[in-house]
Amino acid sequence: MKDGKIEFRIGCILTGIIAGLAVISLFYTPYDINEMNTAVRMQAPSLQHLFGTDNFGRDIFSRAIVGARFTLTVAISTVLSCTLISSALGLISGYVGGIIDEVIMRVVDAINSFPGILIALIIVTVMEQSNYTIVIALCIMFIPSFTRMVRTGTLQYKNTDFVKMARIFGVSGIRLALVHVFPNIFPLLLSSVIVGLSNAILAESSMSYLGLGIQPPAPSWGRMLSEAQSIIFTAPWCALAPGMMIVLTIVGLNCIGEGVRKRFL
Amino acid sequence: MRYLIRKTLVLLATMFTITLLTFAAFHIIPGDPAMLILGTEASPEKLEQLRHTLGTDLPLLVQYRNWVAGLLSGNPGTSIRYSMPVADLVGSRLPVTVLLGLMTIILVIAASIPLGVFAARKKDTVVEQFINFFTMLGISFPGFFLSILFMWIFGLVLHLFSPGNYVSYKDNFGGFMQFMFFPALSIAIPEIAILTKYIRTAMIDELGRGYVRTARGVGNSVNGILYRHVLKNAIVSVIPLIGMMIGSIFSGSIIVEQVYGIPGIGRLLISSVTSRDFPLTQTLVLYVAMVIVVTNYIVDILIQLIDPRIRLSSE
Amino acid sequence: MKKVSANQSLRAALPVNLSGAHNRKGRLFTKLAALMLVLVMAAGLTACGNAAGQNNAAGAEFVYGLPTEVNNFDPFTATTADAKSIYFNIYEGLVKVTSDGTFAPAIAESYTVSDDAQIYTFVLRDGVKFHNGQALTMDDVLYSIQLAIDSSLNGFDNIESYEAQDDKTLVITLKEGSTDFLAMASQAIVPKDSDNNGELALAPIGTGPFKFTEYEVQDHVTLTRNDDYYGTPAKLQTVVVKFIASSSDLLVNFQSGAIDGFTANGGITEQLDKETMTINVSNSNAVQLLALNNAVKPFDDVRVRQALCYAVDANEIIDTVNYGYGVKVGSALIPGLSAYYDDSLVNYYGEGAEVEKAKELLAEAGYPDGFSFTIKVPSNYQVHVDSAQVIVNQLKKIGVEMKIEQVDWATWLEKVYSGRDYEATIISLDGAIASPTAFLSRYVSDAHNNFVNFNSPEYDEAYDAAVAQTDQDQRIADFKKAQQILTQEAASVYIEDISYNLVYSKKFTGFAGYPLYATDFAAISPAE
Repeated sequence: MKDGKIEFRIGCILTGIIAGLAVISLFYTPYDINEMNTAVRMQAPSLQHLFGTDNFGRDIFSRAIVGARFTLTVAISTVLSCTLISSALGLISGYVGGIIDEVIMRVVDAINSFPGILIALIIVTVMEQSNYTIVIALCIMFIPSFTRMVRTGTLQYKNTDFVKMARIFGVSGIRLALVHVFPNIFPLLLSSVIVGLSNAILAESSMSYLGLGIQPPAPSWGRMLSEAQSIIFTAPWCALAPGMMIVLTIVGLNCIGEGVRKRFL
Repeated sequence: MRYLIRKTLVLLATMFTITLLTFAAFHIIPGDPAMLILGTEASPEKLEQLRHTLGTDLPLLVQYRNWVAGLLSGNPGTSIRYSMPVADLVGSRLPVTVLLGLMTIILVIAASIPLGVFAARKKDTVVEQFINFFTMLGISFPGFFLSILFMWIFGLVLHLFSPGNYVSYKDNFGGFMQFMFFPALSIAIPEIAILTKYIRTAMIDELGRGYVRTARGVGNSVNGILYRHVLKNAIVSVIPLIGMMIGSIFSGSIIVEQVYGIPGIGRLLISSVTSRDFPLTQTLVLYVAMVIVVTNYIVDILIQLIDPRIRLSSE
Repeated sequence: MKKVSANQSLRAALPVNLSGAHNRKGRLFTKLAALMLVLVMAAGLTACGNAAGQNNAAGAEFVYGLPTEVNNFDPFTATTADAKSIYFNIYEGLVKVTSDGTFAPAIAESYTVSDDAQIYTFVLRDGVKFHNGQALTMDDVLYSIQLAIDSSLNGFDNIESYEAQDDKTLVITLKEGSTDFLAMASQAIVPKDSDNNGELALAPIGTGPFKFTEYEVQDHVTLTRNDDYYGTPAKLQTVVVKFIASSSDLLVNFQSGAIDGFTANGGITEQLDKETMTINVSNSNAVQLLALNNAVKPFDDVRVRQALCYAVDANEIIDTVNYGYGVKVGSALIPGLSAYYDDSLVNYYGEGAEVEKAKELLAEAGYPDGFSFTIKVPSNYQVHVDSAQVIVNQLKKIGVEMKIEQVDWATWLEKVYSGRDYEATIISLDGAIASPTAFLSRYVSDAHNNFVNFNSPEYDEAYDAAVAQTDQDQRIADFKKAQQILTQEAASVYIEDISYNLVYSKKFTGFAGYPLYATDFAAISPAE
C-alpha cells in the first residue's frame, strides 16, 4: 500500500464521523440541548442517554454533537481567516523585504513571545463578547507561525531560476508573488492548515476552560469540559464525552495531515 | 560577528515592542484595580483616595515612563494587590515554575530520545507503528484534559498522590518533587510526542545519508554509527525546536498550575490579570516573553555556530 | 509493594536494552536516559501513600479552605467578605457580633445607648493585650476611631464627636440617631500608629483569640492561638487558611484530607458523603437578583419588568442550580434580617412561573412577540452563570430571548456596576453591615451605587422616612413598605438567598454560622 494511505483513510473516517454528527445535529438531536430536567441529572450513560446527562439533566450526547458544530465552526473560521491574513503578510514580507519585512517580523516576534492565553484574554475583554470573538483571538495567536512559514517559503522561491526568468520577462511583482511563488508554497500551507485546525480545537477548549470563548448555554467541547470539572468525580462521563470527542477529532485530523505530508512532500 | 550584532539589535527591538504592547494591552482592557480591592460597597471618595495611593490616576505616558525607568534600574515596582515589591513576589514563585519546567524537560528528553531512536531503528515494524500511535495520541490530548484525567485516575482512584496537597519546596524538597511529578508529566506528554516524532524523522533522514552507508561499508557496527554520528546529527537538527518547546512548556504550566493548584508564575499571572495588578502583570508578561525571545536568540546563535551555512533569518 | 512493581513495569516498558547495543558510549547514553526517567518516576511514586492524612495528627490544627485569596488584612481597607470572615478572628472592636446577629461587649466591657440612639457610652475592659504584648489603652481606641473616620468607612461619617471622659470611658455622639451604630462599633481597634501607612495589611495586630503568624501569597495564611486572650481561649492551636481557587479543588482537597473544612455550594454538597462529615447549612446573606437596567429600553417600562418577574421561577433556579440549597426571597432584603424582612412578598409574583400573566403584560407594553436582550454575567461566579442558563429557558417561554455574555469580574465592576453600561446582569448583593439600610439604600434614585437606575420618588420618600424613624415598630413598618414598593415596581427580579454550607470533618465540632461574614475559629474544637 502506498505511503500514508492508511493514515489518510483512518483520518478521513474519524473526521468524517465527527463532521457527520455535526451536520446531523443541524436537523436532529435526540433531546433539546438546553432542556433541563433535575429528575434525570448526572445519570450514567444508558440507552436513553448514550453519553449520560450533566448536572442540569441535559443530554450529553445531544450537546456533544451540537458542540462539534460550534467547535468545528470556530476552528475552521479561525484557520481560514488566519491563512488569508498570514499569506498576505508572509508574501509581502518575504517578497518585498527591507524595512517592511523588518517591521512585520518584529511585530510577529513580539506576538509570538506572548503567552497565547494572555492574548486571548486581552482580546476577549477588550471586544464586545459574542460567540465568535474567540475566532479573532485565536487568529491573532496563530498568525505568527503561519506568517513565518509563508515568508520562509517565499524567500526560498523568490530566487529560483524560474522566478528570476519571469522577472526578466517583465512580469509584475504582484503577479510574480501570486502566480509564481504562492502556488509553490501551497502544499506546505495545506499541511499547516490541517495542523492549524487541530491546534485551534485544542486552543478553543483551553480558552473555554478559562471561561472565554463560546457563551453558555451554547455547548462547545471546551465549555462542556469546564462545566463538567466541578462534578468530575461524581459524574466523570460529563468530562469524558467532550474530552474524547476532542481527542478523536484531533487524532483524525493529524492522521489526515500525516497522510497528506507523506504523499505530497 | 555582524550576524551577532544584528541578532542582538533585533532582540532589543523585539523587547521594546513587547514592553509597548504589554503596557498598551493592559491599559486598553477595562477594570480598575482600586475598585477590585474595595469591592462593591466602596464610597467614591475612598476609591479616589486609593487610586491616588496606587498611582493609577497618573497619565498613561507617565505610568509607562515610570515603569520602564523602574525596569531599567532593576525595580519593577510594587504589586497593587499584594502591596509587596514585584521582584520579591516573582522571586518567590520563580523556583516553583522553573523546577516544574526542568522536571518536564528531563522527562521529555529522557523519554523522547530513546523512543525516537528506537522508532527509527525499528522502522517499518509493528514497534514503530506502536510508537507512532502513541505520539499521535500524545499530541491529541488537550493539556488540561490530561491534567484532570491524571488527577482523577492517579489521585483519586489509585491514590498515588494527593491532589491539592501542594508541598512547598522550602519545607520538604522530596515531597515537592513527588507532588510535581504528575503535573510535570501532564505538560510533558504532548512534548514527548512531538520530540519523539522529530527525532525519529531526523534519524531516518540521517540513516539514509551517504556517510552512513560508507561507514557501514568500512565495517563499523550499526550501533556505533547510530550513536556516534547519526544521533548527534539528528539532535543538532532538532535544536531549533527548543525555543518553541520552552514556550509551549510555559503555556502548559499556566494551565497545569491552575488545575493542580501549584503556586507558580502561571497562577500568579492569571490572578494578576484578573485583579488588574498592572505592575505585576506587565513585569510577568515581559519576563515570560523575555525568556522565550532570549532562548530563541541563543538557539539561533547556536545553530549559526554549529552550521554556518544556515542563515535562517538574515536573508 | 506497589512502588517496586511500578518501577519494574516501567523498566520493562522502557527501551533499556536497546537491542543489545555493543557500543559502550551508546549504551551508557541510553541507560542514563532510562535511569533518569526511572529516577524521576520513582521520586513521583515513593511515599505517595503517606502524603494524605498525616497532618493534624494532634487534632489541634485546623485547615480551612477558602475559595478566594485574602491578601489584605487591614481592617480599614480590606472590605471583601472573605477578608472579613478571616480577620474576624484577629481583630476585635468595642463590641463583637454574635452568631444570632446581636452584639456582645468585647474590648468594651459594657456600653449604654441613649434613648434617641444618638449618644453611645463605652467602658473599656481591663487587662486587654494586643498580640504584640502591649496593653490596650484609650489612646489606641481614639486612634482607631479617627482612622476609621479618615478611611471613610461606612457609617463613620455620622459621628459628630468622640471623646474620652476618663481613661476608661468613651463617649461617641452621632449627628443623627442610629440604632445601627453598634455594628460600626464592631470595627477593629488597633494599636496607636500601627497603620499610618497601611502596615496592617500584611502584619495585622489585634486583640482577638488568634494571632497572625504567617502568610504566603496565593497559598495560605497561618493563625495561632492568642494565649493572652482575656475571654475564653481558643481550643485550636493553629488554623491554616488555604486559598483554593475552584470549588472542585476544594472538594478534592477535602476528600483527600488536605483540608478539614470549607464552605460548599449546593452542587458540591450534593456530591459529599454526608455520613462522614458535618454539614451546617446557613444563608449567604446576600440577595441574588436578575438586575434590570431601569434606564434602558425595554426595561424602562414597569410592565416589562413585571413580566420578567412573573416569568422567572425562583424555585426552579434553586432546585436546578443549587440543589434546593437556597431561600426564595421576592424582596431586596435578606430573610436573615427577620424583623425587617417582609415575607409576604415571597410569592408576590406567584409560586411558580406565570407565563400567561407575563405574556399579557408584555403585550400591553407593546411586545406581544417578545424581544431580545443581553445579560452580562460575571464569569468568576459559576452559580450566576448557571442561574442565567436556567433563566434563558424560562424567558424563552414568554418569547423573550436572553443572550448570555460572560465578563470577567474586573470588567463587570467597571462596565456594569460603576459604568451602568448593560441591559441586565445577575449578581448577589450583600450588605456591609447587618442592617436593612445596607440593602435598601442603593435603590434611592441618586444613590451612587444605584446601578439598576431605579427611579421612584415614592420609594425615596418611604426610605427616608424609615431611616429617620426612631420608634422601632414604626421603623420596621416603614422598611417593609419600602420593600413592597421595590417588589411591586419590579426594580429587578429578586431571586434567592443562596445557602452556603459549612462542611467540616467529623474530627472537629463547634462550627457556628453568623448572619454576617465571620468564620469563628475560636468556637471550633477537636472532637473526642
